[in-house]
Amino acid sequence: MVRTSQQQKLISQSSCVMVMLSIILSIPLKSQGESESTINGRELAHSYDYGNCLACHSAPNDKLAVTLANIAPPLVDMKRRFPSREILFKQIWDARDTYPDTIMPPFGAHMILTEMQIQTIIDYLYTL
Amino acid sequence: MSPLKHVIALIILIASPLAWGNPEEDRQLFIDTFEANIPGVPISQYIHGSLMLSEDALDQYNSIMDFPPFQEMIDQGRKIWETPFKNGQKFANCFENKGANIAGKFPYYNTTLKQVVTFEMALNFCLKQNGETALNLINPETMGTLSAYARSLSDGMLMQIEVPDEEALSKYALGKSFYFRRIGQYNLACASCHLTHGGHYFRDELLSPTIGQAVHFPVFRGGERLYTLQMRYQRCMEAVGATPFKSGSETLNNLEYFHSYLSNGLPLQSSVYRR
Ligand code: HEC
Ligand code: HEC
Repeated sequence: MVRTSQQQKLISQSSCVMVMLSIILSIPLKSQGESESTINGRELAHSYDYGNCLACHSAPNDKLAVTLANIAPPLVDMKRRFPSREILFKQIWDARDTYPDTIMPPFGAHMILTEMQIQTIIDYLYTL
Repeated sequence: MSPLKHVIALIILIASPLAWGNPEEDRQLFIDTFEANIPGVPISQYIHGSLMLSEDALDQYNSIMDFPPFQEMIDQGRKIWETPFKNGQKFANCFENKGANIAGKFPYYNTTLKQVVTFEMALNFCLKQNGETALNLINPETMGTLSAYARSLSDGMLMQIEVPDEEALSKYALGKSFYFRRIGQYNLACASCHLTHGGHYFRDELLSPTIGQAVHFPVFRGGERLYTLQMRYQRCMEAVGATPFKSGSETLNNLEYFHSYLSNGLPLQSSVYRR
């Protein structure tokens, strides 16, 4: 998919504004009313060092998920599409069980994320 | 190729890379894959790598290339190239045609040494033959700048890597198998990103297709560094959580042989700005 330069500018501008705002106001990137685990899950999923899910997936319902990624299906409507927490866990722990040729990293099996961290990410996914 | 045939070919390609055939068939399969996934962009545009799909990025590239901020580095390489060795010989004397229009034939399979020889290795052979000390292959100041200048003498030459015999083919095949091998904590292969997803966005980076990647190295990526092709491979290996193989190792030389072959027919240009 090719983005127009307009779209690209918008995306990079909005991410800049977010980062600037959060630095200037020194507020963490969260909004009120969210549970602690949701915030951590989002950070884990967004961060380059942990989940880096945004490298491959977009998350159109999370306005803080700034990415152009179009490698994997968008993370949307997760509760309806993945009513089973177990199946979601398996996909993140080691997607090769379901898709032998997947390029999704085996986050659990390769010790990129702990079981707890994956559970926290699932809490976040269920908000999408 | 019909879409169905194409899909079948791709499945075979990905399922068993070693099963598929001669280098020319491989190259054609890569081209078919990209033509299907990135419709409407002629292969000749692939020399621009990840910039080719974004007008903005290409504009930015063109304005940088009008007055390349790395010209000084290339001049530094020119000085190394032109300064005579202690014995009075020069780099130009080590190469056919005084070093002009030759880089597109590297890497090549050397039948005497029974190994793949990269352009940077040939520069070091020249130094050693003349009683000089070889340069560190990953030093951007010395090998980076020298390679950038020496390769610029071949600007416009078409890549023409040859795989002349069975021994050479076995090195090519080793390079190919590495290209498809999953590595690192993230369990990704070069092919995962640059073949299967060439032209897609990895977060906000557009992934360049494999074809066209080898013709414009060393590249300038900001700062003051010129990265050789193998240094770039090493960055991608680090990115997937793998320990990079050494520059000049058989693994990377074979990889460069396979990888460069895929760009056959595209014009060389050294050096350019890239992400
Ligand atoms: C390197 C690419 C990559 C990364 C990084 C990645 N995924 Fe995936 N993911 C994929 C691909 C490709 C698929 C499509 C199915 C498959 O091949 O496994 C997928 C599928 C999924 C699915 C199933 C979606 C559906 O609609 O069927 C979920 C859920 C998922 N990923 C969650 C995550 C989470 C959470 C993270 C981060 C912790 C993550 N992914 C990181 C590539 C990736
Ligand atoms: C996780 C995805 C990923 C994997 C796996 C990966 N790369 Fe890359 N590579 C990138 C990104 C992102 C870039 C920068 C954007 C671009 O030019 O494609 C890049 C750039 C490159 C470039 C520079 C292209 C240019 O025109 O400047 C080369 C060459 C390259 N990769 C080769 C490799 C090789 C060889 C491997 C396997 C050892 C590999 N990559 C594995 C993501 C990856």
